[in-house]
Order: sequence, then C-alpha cells, then structure tokens
Amino acid sequence: MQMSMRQSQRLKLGLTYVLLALWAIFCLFPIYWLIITSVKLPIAVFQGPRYLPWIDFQPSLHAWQDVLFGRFQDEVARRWTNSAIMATSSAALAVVIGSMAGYALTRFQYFVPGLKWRNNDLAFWIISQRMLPPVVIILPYIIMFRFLRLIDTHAGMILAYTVFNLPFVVWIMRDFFAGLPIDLEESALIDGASRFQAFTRIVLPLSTPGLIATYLFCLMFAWNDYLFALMLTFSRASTMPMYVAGMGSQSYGPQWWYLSALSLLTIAPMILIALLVERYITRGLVVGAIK
Amino acid sequence: MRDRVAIPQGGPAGYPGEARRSASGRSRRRSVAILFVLPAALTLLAITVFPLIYELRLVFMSWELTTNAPARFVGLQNLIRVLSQDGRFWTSMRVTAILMIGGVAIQLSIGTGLALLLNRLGSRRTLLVSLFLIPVMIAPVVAGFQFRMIYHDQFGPLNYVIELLTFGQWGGFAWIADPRVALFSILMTDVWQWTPFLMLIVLAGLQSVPVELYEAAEVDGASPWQTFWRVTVPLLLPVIIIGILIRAMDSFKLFDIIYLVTGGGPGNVTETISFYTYLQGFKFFSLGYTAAMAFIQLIIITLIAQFFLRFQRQQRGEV
Repeated sequence: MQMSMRQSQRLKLGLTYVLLALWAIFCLFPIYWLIITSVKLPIAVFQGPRYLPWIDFQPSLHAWQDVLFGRFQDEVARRWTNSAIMATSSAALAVVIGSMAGYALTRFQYFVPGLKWRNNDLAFWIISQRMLPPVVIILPYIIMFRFLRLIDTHAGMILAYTVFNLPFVVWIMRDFFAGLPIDLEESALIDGASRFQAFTRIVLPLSTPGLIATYLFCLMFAWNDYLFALMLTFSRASTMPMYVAGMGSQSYGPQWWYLSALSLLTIAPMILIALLVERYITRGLVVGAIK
Repeated sequence: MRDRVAIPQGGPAGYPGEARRSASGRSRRRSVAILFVLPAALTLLAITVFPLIYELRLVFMSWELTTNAPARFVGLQNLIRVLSQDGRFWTSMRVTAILMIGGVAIQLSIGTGLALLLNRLGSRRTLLVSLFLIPVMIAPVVAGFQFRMIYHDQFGPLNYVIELLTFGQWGGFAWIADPRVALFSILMTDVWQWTPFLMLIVLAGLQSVPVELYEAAEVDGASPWQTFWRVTVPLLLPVIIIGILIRAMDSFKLFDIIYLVTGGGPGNVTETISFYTYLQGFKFFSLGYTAAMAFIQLIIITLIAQFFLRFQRQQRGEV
C-alpha cells in the first residue's frame, strides 16, 4: 500500500509524540509518586499497589497537616527559611563578585609576574576551582571554618556556597561579556564616565538575561546542596535537604508520607523555576558547554 | 602571597582613546582593573588555596583521630598504601568508572534521541523541555529518596509494575539490597536525573546546524540515516564532547545519591571513590590517608579538566 507524503509525515509526528510521551512518563512518574504518597494514609502506603487517589485509595491531608501546621511546623519553617536565605544571598553575592571579575577578564589585560599568567590562565585557574570534588576539599574547610567559628552559621554557609559558585559565574559571565559590543562602553568612557559607571549603567543592563540565568543556576546549586550542609552545619544553619535526609534515616523506618511532603516542599521552588523560566535555565545549563 | 594577585599590564584592551591619557591615568586604570577582580581573587585565594596547601601537607602525614597518637610525617607511605595495598580503593575506582562510562553512554544516547525528537516539534517543544528539565533541577537528596521508595522490594511501584507485567510470575528484585542489581539501580537514578542535561546540550547544538546543509544533503539524495551520521553527528561532535566531559567530571564526584540510597552497599558494590573518601575521612578518621586519596582524585580530575578546557579553547579558536 502506498502512503502519501502527508500521511507518512503525520505518522512520523505521531511516533515522535509517542516516544516523547514515554520519556515524560519515566521522567515524571517519580514526582507523581511523591505527590500521591504525601496524601496517602500509612495504611495505604503499606497496602500494596495504589496509584490513583479517590479510585484505589482515599487521599488524606494528614501528612501535610503535620508538616505545615502540626508538630513539624516550626522545624520545617526554620529549615526552609535557612535554605532560602542562604541560597538567595549566596547566589547574589557570587553573581556580583563573579561578574565583576568576569567583566575585568574581558576588558583588561592581566599579567601575574611570578607565574607568568595572562587572562586565559587566570580564567583557567578560576574555573579549575569548580572542578574539585567537594569531598576532596571539605576536610580543610571544616578545620578552617572551626577556626573562624563559622561552623553552623548562616554567614559560613553563605560564604561556602558563594565560593563554590564563584568560578562558575566568572566563567559564564566572561563569555557573556566577551560577546557584548564595546562601542557603547567606549563612548560612555569618552564622555567621562568612570569604568565602574560604564559597568553598572551600560554593561550590566545589557547582560540581564545572562545574569538571571547565572543567578538561577547558583541558586539551584545552593538550594539543592547536601554535602556542604552535611559537613558544615548541624542545627542552627541546617537546611531543607538535611531535614529530608535526616527524616529518611530514622531507625524505626522512614515515614514515607512525611518524607514525601517534605520532599515536595524542598523541590517546589526549583520546579516552579523550571516551569516558569525554563529558557533562562536552559541557557545557564548550556552556555557553559556551547559558546 | 602578594605576587599572586593579578597585576594588570599597562596596555588597555581595545581602548585606543584611553591609551593616550597621562601616566597618572594609567596607574588609576591599573588600580581600577585590580579592584574589579580583587573580591573574586581574594575569596578564592583565601578559601581554596588554604585547603589545597593543607591537604597537600596532610598527604605526607599519618594522622588517625581514633587513636591518640599525634600526627607524624610518613613521607610517601600514604600514597603507596592507597595505590598498592588498598583493594577497596581500586574497587571504588572501578565502581566510579562503571557509573561514569555506563551513565554517560546511556544518557548520551537517550539524550540525543530526545533532542532529535524535540527538534522536530519546533516551537511547540517549550512545555516539554520545561517538564523534562525537572529532574535536573531537584535536590539529589529528594531524587535519592524518591528512588528508595520506587525501588522498595515490598511497597515500591517498580516491583508492582513488574508483577503486573509478568502476570504475577515474577516479583522483581530487591533493587537496593541485591548486590547483583544495586549498581544498576544507582545507574538508573543517575540516568533519570541527568539525561535531560545532555538532551539540552545536544538540542542547543542541533539548533546551530545551518538548515542549508540538510537541504543540500536532501538534494544529493542522502537517506535520513546517512544525513544523521554524515552531517549532524560531525557538526554536533564538539558540543557532544563538551557535554560528555562535563558529565564525566560530575559523575566522578558522585556522592549524595550513594550516601542516601545505598550507603555504598550492599557490601561495597556501589561504593564510589567520593563515598569511600568520605568514609575514610569522616567514619574512620584517617586524615592523612584521606588526603592521599583526595590528592589522587585531584590529579585525575585535573587531567580531565585540562582536556576539557583545551578542547573548548580549540573549538573557540582561542589558542
């Protein structure tokens, strides 16, 4: 049987959608399972396969009740606030400090006498800091933080995340600034603006998309981090991921309904970001790889 | 320390107007240039150079926190012990290599497939891309917990589904506790979380391939298969290599998922090098030994990173 061009096109498109739908199921099922587990009663969790609320189990908000308004309320609020404060401020700091350095690396020529380093070498040194496995450098961190009394403090965690994100910011923003036309800055400089004014009034506004992408990326790292929080905090500055991990390792077995609710609270902001500003995130993820 | 701070050379980069100004202007410009990088350079120097020097010193020390013995200098002994006497170190290296190579291979194949499919959709793909992006965005802690639930041998949905599909003939595995499949389970978690990343990279690469090339291939009568291998792949190769290297460096550090899902077990079939380093340092408290292992990882990651950056520079014609 002969198929017309049109039909085969349609078939192809249909197949495309089927395959993508399969991946979407694989991709989203774990999240779906989190959602339904968070509204299951303990009995429904341990009863066997239960997939659809109202159809094969009766949903209940008991876990959410306890997590948001009940016995976990204070702890959840504290950890969530901790996470939010540390993630937003460390990302902001990293972006400010890092974009200045990134800008400078594209507009000035540096030479480090002893090492004979030029701009590219400096940039490489900076990015190589990001490539270290955290587990490798965490021990001296602990010692240094203990010495400076930064263990389990907000300031300490903000510092740790800022430093960890900084190389990434420099790297990305350097690329970004290198792609901007310099004519505008040049004319501003000739008109008597200082370099710093040119940077804040002309370069930064032009770079907003890049800055947002980088900021979100840093935010994501700090928000999701587990290792630094595990090593450098124990109570006061403890974060949401720490809470989830702690709940999961209780000796009488994990209470999955609570854990699911907490997990959802932890990932909600990131999912919102993924859905609302996908293009920025895509840019942040891809820009490091592709010019 | 002072000579490590970057000193800008007098010459301005592309500002002829500035170059003609006075000598005092030049020194001011120089201080402006320093001020721009100073915060970043100082922070990095303070907080990463110290750890590295400290770590390097530890490599040559024996320092066991579990005994009361003071730290003492042992020369290369730690390094020799790690490399020649520690079977567990090599096992964890093998586990890391399997996860790295297997993970990247699977993620790259599926990611490329998905990118090709998405590329056909044109602008309608935005929503799908956002949805697919979710795994990349969520905390590894949560990813680990999710999969502990999914893999659970009695109450996990994976075994429910397997039972359903085999009509009750087979109840599936104890995915996490069974040494035969535990590593595979970890691998799948990694695939779930990171395939979208490679998908995005390939997708971005696909969009930069000029349409004319495809048209030309079609005019020449190339089959879709030929077009893919002769046109798309060669053009995407640089992008793909960068993606592979980024993922390789990341999976070399794999820690959270292991810590949360299997704890390196059963036995040590899922123990990665990062996790083993953590155990040595923070469970057995052998600081010198930990530093020696850390140092070896540092060398490996630096080699991959060098390769990565050199390749990237070459691509951009910066050399």
